Amino acid sequence: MQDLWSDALKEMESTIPHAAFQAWFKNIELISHDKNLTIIGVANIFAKSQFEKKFNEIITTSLKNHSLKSTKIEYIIISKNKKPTSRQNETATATIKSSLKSKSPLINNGLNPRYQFSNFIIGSNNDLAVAACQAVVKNPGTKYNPLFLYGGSGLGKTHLMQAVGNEITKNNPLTTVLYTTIESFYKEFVAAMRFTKGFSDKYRNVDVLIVDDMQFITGKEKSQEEFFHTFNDLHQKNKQIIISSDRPPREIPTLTDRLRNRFEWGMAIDIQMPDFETRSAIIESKASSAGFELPSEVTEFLATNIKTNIRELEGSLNQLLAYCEMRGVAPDLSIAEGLTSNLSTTARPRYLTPKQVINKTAQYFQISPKDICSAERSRHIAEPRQIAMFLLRNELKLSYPKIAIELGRKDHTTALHSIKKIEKAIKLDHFIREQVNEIREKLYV
Amino acid sequence: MKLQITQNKLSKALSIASRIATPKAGLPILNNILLRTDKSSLTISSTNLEVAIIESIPAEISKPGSITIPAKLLAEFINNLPNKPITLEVIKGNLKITSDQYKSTINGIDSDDFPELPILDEEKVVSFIIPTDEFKEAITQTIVTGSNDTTRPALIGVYFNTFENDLFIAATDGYRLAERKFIENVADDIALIVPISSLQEVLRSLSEEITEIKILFDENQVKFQLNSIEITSKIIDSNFPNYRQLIPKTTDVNIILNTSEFLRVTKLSSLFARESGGSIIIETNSKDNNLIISSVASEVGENNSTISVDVDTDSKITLSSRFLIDALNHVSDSEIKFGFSGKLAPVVVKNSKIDNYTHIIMPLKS
Repeated sequence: MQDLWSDALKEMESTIPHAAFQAWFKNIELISHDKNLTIIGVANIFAKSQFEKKFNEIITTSLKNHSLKSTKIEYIIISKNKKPTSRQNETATATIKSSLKSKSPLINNGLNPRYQFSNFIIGSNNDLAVAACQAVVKNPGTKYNPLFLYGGSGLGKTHLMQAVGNEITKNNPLTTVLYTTIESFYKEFVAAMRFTKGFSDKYRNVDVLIVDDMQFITGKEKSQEEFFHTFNDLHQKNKQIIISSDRPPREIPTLTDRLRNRFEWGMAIDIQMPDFETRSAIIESKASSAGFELPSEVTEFLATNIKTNIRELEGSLNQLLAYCEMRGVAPDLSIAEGLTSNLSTTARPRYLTPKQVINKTAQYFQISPKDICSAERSRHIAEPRQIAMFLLRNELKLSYPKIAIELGRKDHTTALHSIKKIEKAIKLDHFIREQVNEIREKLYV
Repeated sequence: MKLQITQNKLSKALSIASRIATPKAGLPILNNILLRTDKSSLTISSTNLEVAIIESIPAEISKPGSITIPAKLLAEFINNLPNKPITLEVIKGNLKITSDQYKSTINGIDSDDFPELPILDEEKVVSFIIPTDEFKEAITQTIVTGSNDTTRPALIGVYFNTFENDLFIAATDGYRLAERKFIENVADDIALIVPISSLQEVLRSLSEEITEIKILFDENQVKFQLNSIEITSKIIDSNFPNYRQLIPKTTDVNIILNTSEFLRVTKLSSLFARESGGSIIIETNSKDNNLIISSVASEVGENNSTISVDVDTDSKITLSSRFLIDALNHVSDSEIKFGFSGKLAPVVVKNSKIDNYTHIIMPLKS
């Protein structure tokens, strides 16, 4: 076909003045051809209007002469400087989205098609949660109902829940899935109290209800009541409910007992911070979907330095990639170091004193810092003390003797023993793990 | 074609339209300007195949028609005529110009050879209206950081993009970036790159009578409507860097500086920075509460200036004085917010009060 096309071009060259041919016909391409439609690629909008208005006849004739006849010829603008990667849908391609078009009724189930299981990185920190979610996808409303996911911010709760919604819709397009945050639930509820009807219809006529950020229901009594009824109604009809929160149900303050009870009916799973390998895998997958290949030392650097939060990890990675894209250079370690040193220093105070660690720990357990440093051995004092030692070691990298001094001990072996004990407990007892994580987050607020 | 028209109106229109008429690879017709009559006006068009200018001026038409005439010659000739009515008449493919005692004939080319100018796709058009002053300030503030490196086509344009319902414009040359909030609360989402050269044409065509500008986009082109002048430009079909990620949300050092004082000191420093490619060192001292700007040229001497300022962090950064001067020349407030952190993170310059402009500069490696 391209041979015929170049013959056709040669014929046109002989009929059109040389200058005009050079100016207009040199960069055109035959994109596709069949008997109904031929598409020809041209350089820009100016060229397009020449072809549509001036040269269309010549082209039609010439194509016919070379057995490339079709009823219609279309000219499209092709560009040679666009990267033909999957990146296009992520970054800024030239687009116009008219407001009319974007408000399609299909999208108001709150699901974002970007969140899929296929782009969720599974690690030891979240494998249980993923398994539970996949079980829900298979049998919505029967196995784990409600499914309650909790964990710190930026660890993938929203991604996972959205993936469940997307997957269920994909498997059975007739299922109605509704994703909402407790925030918009509350807002709609308030609006409904004033003037609109249809609030309970919206929430009670779904097959899968996904509610994000349940912790924000704190202090909204009426919303809690409304949610309670919605919950009961759906649960009775065996509809799947998935809830997320940054803490387990029993720790959401002012949550009424009947709601707390119900949340604990089903399955409550925590999502932990990802380990080093998982973080590396996340970085690699994000970078490659953005069309970049990161040198291994850059991946390692990011994964080592940003531990607490996947959102932050993605943020630094995006920043790095944007920097490289703008400067037109390949990502390397020195750029990563330069950019993230800024990020981590701005995200949290640079200096954390041992005093602060002790005070925050004491505050968390509602005991006085003096108690922690005292010789008191009762359990409610001793355990916080051990946790404080663990944090001093882990967060501040203090030496054992130094830790002992900070807590008014003479002997560093106490510190050694306590830290070992907590390290072990963290692996076994998820209650302690949660406590330590929560204190750790508070340290940097 | 035969018509009568006033000299000053025609001269003004020609001076705008003739600017872009330049001969281009094998198309001598682009050197010309197209004159075409409408019912009661004369339409003047010119194009360089990246941008097209169409103007319409009232005229007394006695015989409709059209012709193309070498742009620069016609513009200069009309410009030097006295401000009196002019008669234009096409006789055998040439344009006869008569005014008072002046007469001349210029050889023309048939208007059929003139390129067809693109027309917006009405169905896909989104449009915005902006006051001229606002347009002028915003565009000037952004194109300063644009690039002229044609190997990276996205950077020779200004990126018009909506973010959280506001329309922003941004430009970068890879070393610095300026972003300006352009229009608040817009209904349509767009993300399109307009060539800087086209925007400069728009800026040059502005005059006092034009109080607002209508901007119309479709997928492939943009049209700026300035009263009777229409400037149509192609859009750059490329990906603009995902720049929002690069603007630091917070910085370690945050200081407020008097714009003109900081500018003066930077200029002083830049005199000694020629040897080092314009690099100057900016240092904060929290103990003495001041900002020290210094540069060294081993053969000339050195410069060291201090501005007293409220600062609580000690930090140091090396910057291009040229870039900093550009930034300071384009903020609109008398005071600026100046922020940086670490040696490699971007420096942020903002207005202290009106939060609509962000100018960031990549530091130099010291």
